[in-house]
Amino acid sequence: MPDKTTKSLLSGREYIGVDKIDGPLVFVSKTHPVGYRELVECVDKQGHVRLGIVLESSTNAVVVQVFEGTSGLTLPGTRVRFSGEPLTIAVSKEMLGRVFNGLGHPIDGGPPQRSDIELDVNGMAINPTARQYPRDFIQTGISVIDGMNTLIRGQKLPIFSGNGLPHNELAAQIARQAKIRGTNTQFAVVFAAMGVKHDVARFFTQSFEESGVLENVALFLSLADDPSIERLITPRTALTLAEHLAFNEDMHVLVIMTDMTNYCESLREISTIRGEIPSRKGYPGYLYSDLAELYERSGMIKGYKGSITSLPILTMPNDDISHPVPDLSGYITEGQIVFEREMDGRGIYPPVAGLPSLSRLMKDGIGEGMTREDHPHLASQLFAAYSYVKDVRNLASVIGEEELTPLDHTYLDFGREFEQRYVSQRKDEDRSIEETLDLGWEVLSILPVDELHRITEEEIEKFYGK
Amino acid sequence: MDSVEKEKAALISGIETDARVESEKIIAEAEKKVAEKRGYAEKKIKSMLNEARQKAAEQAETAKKKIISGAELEAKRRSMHIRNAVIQDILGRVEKKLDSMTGDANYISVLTGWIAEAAIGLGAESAQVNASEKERVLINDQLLSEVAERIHTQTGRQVMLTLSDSQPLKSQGVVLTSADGRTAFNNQVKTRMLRKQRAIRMRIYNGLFGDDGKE
Repeated sequence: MPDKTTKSLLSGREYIGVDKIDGPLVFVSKTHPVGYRELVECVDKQGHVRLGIVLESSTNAVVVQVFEGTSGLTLPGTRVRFSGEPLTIAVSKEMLGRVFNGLGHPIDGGPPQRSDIELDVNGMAINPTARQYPRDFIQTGISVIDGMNTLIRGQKLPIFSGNGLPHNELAAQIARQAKIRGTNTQFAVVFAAMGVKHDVARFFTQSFEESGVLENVALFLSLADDPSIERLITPRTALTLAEHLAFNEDMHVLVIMTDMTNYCESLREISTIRGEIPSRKGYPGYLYSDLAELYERSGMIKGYKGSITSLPILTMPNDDISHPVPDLSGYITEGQIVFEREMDGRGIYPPVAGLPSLSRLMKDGIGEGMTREDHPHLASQLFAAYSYVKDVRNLASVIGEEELTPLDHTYLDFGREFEQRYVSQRKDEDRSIEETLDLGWEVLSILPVDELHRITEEEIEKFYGK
Repeated sequence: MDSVEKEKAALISGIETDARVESEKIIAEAEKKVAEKRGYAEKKIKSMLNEARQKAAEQAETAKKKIISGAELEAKRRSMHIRNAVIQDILGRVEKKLDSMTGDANYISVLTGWIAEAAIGLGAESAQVNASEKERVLINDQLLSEVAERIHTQTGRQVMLTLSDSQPLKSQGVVLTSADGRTAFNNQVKTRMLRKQRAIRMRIYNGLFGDDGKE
């Protein structure tokens, strides 16, 4: 067992030449004992240092995953150094307003961040017994979310979207408008982009800049033209900063991670190269636990003032909600906001599908004293009525609209109004919860009173048709 | 004849009265509707005006926020750049100062320390030592055996050190390579500073701008 001095000196030892390079993986044999996920520096012939981590370590060989890609590395010309510690980033509040790459290095032309606090990017999921139950309603200003899929502080609520759907616009709108009612609490936003195009990154930067919140945002960008492997570390560095801001600086942090599907693709790539036995659709068998490792870092902890609310965005390949990425995400997170391509085609923004979307924590953050006393019943009634609209539409597609009953026609009218007025709103429209609930009552008033089974008589008396 | 005329006149008068009443009623209703419509329009105008005012205030607030945020961000960026330039300048001076120390009497002890450190880190049984031209003059067999002895005392390991016959290094410090050429330990000043870069920068920063110096 090497003593502390020798151990720290081991980080200076360089292994000259490597045994094999396969995609983003480098194989080095006959090394001193190195640890799993230890930070590695690979130096090419020109002296350029690339970072990586240890994926596998045995007495025979060590497998290193190089984040910045292995292009240009040669077998005899590569020098490898094992740092003896995991990848860490220096974190501080001063990181807000700045742009970093996936590894946490500044790419905004500024100097490296300065901090006494260095944290392991791998972090740890929050201990379930230490978790504080989330209850504070976050007003996003978006009716279909606030009214029917309410976001709660500390919640992890993913957006299940598809290619070309306006998930970025919605995420940016939430980041701009999110507020806790009755307080001046401002969210710090930690934004992690994985494998997204430059225009998407620019859209977010501009959107934050134009709304004057950029100084409260830290961006971690691993774009589509960056080595795909860097995507694996990007959400971890972003969450590490989020944890520092939330639990050391008492801030409320909104973490937006886009696109989680790209993250999972990188995971699949590495798994294939490592020759692991593939699971569903070629993704590794540990996809669930890997995603949980990220998602479970969000929440609220007893005794701490800050919180991490997470909004992962994932694009469902072929809009398939049973695809492993949305499927497994749905098991871990507390609900989901699902986009519907057909609604987007009809010009409805945000095209949030009413029925498959769900916020599991909603019930604990709405109602009297939190939003308004009629909120739970109103949301329930809107769900029920919209669900019937879907049935009627299906029926109409078979027997024709003219064969429907007058009541069915009323439901169709309600469905149209619900989608056009309640769900649909402008990208810069910030509706208060009262406006959202009043609008809900307005569209619900299209239906006869007899049809409102989920609302109390007092509520009908007070809000129906007013 | 007269009675017919009278009836006619009465009928006309009745019709006229009815028409007058009716017209008055219609006018009153129309006036009422106009008043209602006017009230509604006035209300609508008022609410539109309020909405417009509110929107304008919101937009002004956003614009103000954007300007302030942009200015604060720019100030932060500039401050960071200036402070970084100062730190870089100091680091450059430190390197120069260290380089000028090669002629000092006690530099040998610094050098032996670096060689010993590298040999321990390298972990090889025999290693070749290379250094810059100025430092190679100071390294001889006696110094190397003294270092080997020191390592033996510290770690209990026997190490054989020889001076490398390859090209001298271009910058200050030493590089040890194992005899089989498989491992090396770079203990040049630049590499050492890079290894401890974060801590050094932090120390300079705290020394110059205080612990709570904001970027």
